[in-house]
Amino acid sequence: MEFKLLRIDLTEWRAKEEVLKDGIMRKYIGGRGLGAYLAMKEIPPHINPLSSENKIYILTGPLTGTGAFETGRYHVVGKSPLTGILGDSNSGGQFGPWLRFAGYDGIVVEGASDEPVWVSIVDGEVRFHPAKRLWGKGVVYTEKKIRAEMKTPSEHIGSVLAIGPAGENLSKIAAIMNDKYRAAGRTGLAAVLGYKKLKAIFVKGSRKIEMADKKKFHEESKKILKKIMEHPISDALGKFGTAVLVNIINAHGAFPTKNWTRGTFEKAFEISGEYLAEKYLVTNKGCWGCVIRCARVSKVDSGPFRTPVSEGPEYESIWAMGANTLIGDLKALIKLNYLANDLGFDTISLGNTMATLMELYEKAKKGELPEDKAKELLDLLEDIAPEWGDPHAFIQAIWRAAYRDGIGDLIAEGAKRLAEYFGSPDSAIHVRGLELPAYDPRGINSMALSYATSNRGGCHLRAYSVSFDVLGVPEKFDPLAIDKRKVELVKYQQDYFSVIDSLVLCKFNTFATDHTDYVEILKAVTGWDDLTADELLIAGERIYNLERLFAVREGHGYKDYLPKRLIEEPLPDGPAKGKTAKEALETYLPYYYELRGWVDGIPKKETLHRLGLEEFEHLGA
Amino acid sequence: MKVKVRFLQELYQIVGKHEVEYELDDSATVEDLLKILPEKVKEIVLDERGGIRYPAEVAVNGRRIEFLDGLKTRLNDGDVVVVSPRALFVV
Ligand code: SF4
Repeated sequence: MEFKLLRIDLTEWRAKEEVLKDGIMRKYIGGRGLGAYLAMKEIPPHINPLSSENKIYILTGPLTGTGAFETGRYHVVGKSPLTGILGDSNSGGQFGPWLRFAGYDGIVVEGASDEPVWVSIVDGEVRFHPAKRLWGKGVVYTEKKIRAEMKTPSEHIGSVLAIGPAGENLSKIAAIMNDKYRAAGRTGLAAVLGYKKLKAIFVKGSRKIEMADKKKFHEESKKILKKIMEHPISDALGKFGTAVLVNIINAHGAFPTKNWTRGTFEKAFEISGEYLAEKYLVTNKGCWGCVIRCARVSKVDSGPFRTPVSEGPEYESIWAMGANTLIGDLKALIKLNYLANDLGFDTISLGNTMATLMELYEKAKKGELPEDKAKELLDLLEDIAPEWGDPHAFIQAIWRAAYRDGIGDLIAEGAKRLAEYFGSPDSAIHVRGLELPAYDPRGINSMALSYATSNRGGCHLRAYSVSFDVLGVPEKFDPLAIDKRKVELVKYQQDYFSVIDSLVLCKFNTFATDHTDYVEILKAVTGWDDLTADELLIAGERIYNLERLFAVREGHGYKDYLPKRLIEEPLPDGPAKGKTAKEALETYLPYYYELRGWVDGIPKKETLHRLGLEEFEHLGA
Repeated sequence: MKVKVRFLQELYQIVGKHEVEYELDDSATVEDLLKILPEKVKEIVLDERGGIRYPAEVAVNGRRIEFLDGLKTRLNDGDVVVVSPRALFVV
């Protein structure tokens, strides 16, 4: 399989092509795996993530844009300014396929420009454009202007990836946006593009994606599609969007509320997917070629939260900016979601950071912060006064954060740095610096292990153990029972999801499929005729270990832990009342290390050997 | 006794309300409760033999009934019962 990379040197405003060897592709597949490998080889250890030495890899995978099922996504990798270790994020929309149609399977962004620039790639031709007039502007405006300049007004043709003011101003919780409302949100990689002064990339073209065996590809594609469409979750996601989870996760008391101090939110229904569908939904929408179509298109017609027709909000955004800050008004959340997208923030990190700010504000007023810090905070917040549940304060804070004005300068740094600055580090709920998503591991205990061992920090997409602990995929478990078989499933998911992110497929495939479902179709595309299911899963394991080695090499970020609040403070309400995540983590972690062949978070040399990672063996334990 | 029933997804759309309070005998079980739900809800939630129809799920106070006593789970005054048309994340 031929994989064509475009290296964009922003220092010189030059681009060159590079074709990757088939051997590398077979070992790391594409997307997340390939990004981890290239980052490990090319990004020197200990560099400042906000420097010209850092690189951003924007990668597709072998199945991207092939027209099969949920193949419309792309993956971004680089050293994270938020966590200081390897960061990566995945996004839908249509950028991934159009990048391939434009002639390249991936882009490596290198160097740094002196002045703002945007890049167009049309049928293999790369052009650099000054972006002074776009700098400081929102994502929606940026896309409109670029489409006008490229004479491509139809949103069905071509695609724009852009950063907003948040990324330009080096916010560590900034998201890389594409197609206006889709976000590669996690780990703050937009700040790296902001440092490099790359405002946007436009892609368009008519390259055909080559395949070893087209007929077989279509047959296999149909089989997988059938499985996905027959699964009850696919149907629910189409009807109610990801926010179908609000009532469900709240029902089981794992819906983090008021900065992770409770497990249920009394206004959950009013911010749920059901309510959204009834009141504010215009239509549903899909990423390129998707049949599930889980995306929402919504609007608010009138009142202070009037919002034009736009995409979202997703479950995670509704939770992070809603329940976690006690905002229970869906209109306000649609508005906040729109602003967060347009200014280019990761809504999970932003919502958590605002919840941390509200907690700090409350503590400052109660005299529970160091005196000088309390005074400084109250001074900075005099005109915002972020009380719990106040959407207007949140709106003001978003603007400040995007332009680093006043308190915004600290909000832009993310929850961990904000809480540390004001002398209350445990008010930030994060792992490795990345704010946690919308499942409380005190109520779904396998998530304790999933979060603690997630390579990129607090995240639900390395292993979505909610699926077996609650949904029963592939097997049904009691989410409150300690069961060591869950450890085996977390490890399996981490490896399997590494494959999914490297083929670059949507994770909503994984309820209906396992890794064995992708062997034949991958053969049909790549011509790797002797590929086996085991080889594919081992590639996933290789990728997971390699990501961990990046942290080992940095000398931090490889210890597996959970925030103190989740370990020490029992949930006060709901079905998981009285539970902490301590017992689960302490029971699961040693067995996890045994299965992984790791010692205290570091892969053993023999493990690296087994996985074909000999070239990194010196980093092993 | 009184219990609250919360309807999710299409069941919410059928009933038109997220939460409805039902009056039941003091010894009532989940089975007794399900029998008095609206016909259209029953069609989705119950199979011909009166069992739970895949992929529907029922939970009492946030615990799936399969981790309690199934349909025979006894209800108490003030309980919250969630009824969902899909095996979706209800504990
Ligand atoms: S299921 Fe949703 S997120 Fe996944 S590809 Fe389809 S529309 Fe995009």
